[in-house]
Amino acid sequence: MSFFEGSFLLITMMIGTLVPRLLPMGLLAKRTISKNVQIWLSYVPVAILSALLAPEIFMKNGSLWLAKENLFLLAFLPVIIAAYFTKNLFATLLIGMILVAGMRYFGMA
Amino acid sequence: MISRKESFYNGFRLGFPIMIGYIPLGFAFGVVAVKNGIGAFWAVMLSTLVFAGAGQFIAASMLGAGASILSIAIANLLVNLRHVLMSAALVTPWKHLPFSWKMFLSFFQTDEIFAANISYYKAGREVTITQVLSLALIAHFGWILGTFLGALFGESITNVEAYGLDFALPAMFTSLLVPLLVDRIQLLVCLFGAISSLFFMQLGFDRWSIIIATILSATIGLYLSLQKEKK
Repeated sequence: MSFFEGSFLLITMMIGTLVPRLLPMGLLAKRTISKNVQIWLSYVPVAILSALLAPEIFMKNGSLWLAKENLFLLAFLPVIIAAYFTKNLFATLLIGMILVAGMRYFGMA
Repeated sequence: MISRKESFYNGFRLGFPIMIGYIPLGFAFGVVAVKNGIGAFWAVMLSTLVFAGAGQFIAASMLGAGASILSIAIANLLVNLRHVLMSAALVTPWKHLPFSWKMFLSFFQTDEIFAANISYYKAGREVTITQVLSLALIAHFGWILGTFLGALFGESITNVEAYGLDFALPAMFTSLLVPLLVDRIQLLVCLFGAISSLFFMQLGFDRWSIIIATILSATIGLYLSLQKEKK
């Protein structure tokens, strides 16, 4: 990655992270966000996470992939259950990675 | 009024488990970053100056898929919009802190650090700069250290798939998503987001499909929510 590309990535990502984290602190002391914007914002996390997640699980190289060789698909339900019961990012990650690594180790795909 | 030493200890106690979790997570990011063409230097810079787990993993994965930096920037902004509501929840507990400190401390509010802070305040504990800062810095240190080690050893790990490292991102999304599905509208937004994203992806919109699907689904959520209020 060239210096220009790296700096551009770094600066745009800093803006995209700092604005959401700092804006309420800087602004909300004086005014409030309109109610509709608040409602819209409350749906953004679920919207983007599901939009990001679905292709990772159900697709390969941009087309649907529903087969028993799709290990991410096989690991998906256990990971949902792990996320629901542990409510812990690190535990969920560990369970998911062990599952996928294990299935590969035993030659499932 | 609690002493500064006690404040530091309170923050440390909350931050330590997060640090222990951030080291392997940061390590995974470091490995994935160098594998996808973000050099070790830029990986550590991102972890130091951006400090957004999900956003950084998305950037690495999108770069690997050949996405433009502009589309990465937009995806990162959208995924971080969840912090607007979290940050807003800190306005009241932090109201007595100086403005410049509020701004500085807001930078560190990742999902885990925010959750630790909020649980501390809900228990009615006194909020001090020392407590917020020690919690944040310890966790941030774990994230940077993990990234550094991951970027360092990333080159020598020839097969990330054998360790399931390529599943870190989907598992992270699932872990962030599941606790948010608290009512019927959120569940519908989730289904619509997933299906529309697959649909646009299949049509060849590539990485932009995520941004389009997100804006569309959140707007549907707003519409359903307003409809529900009318009744």
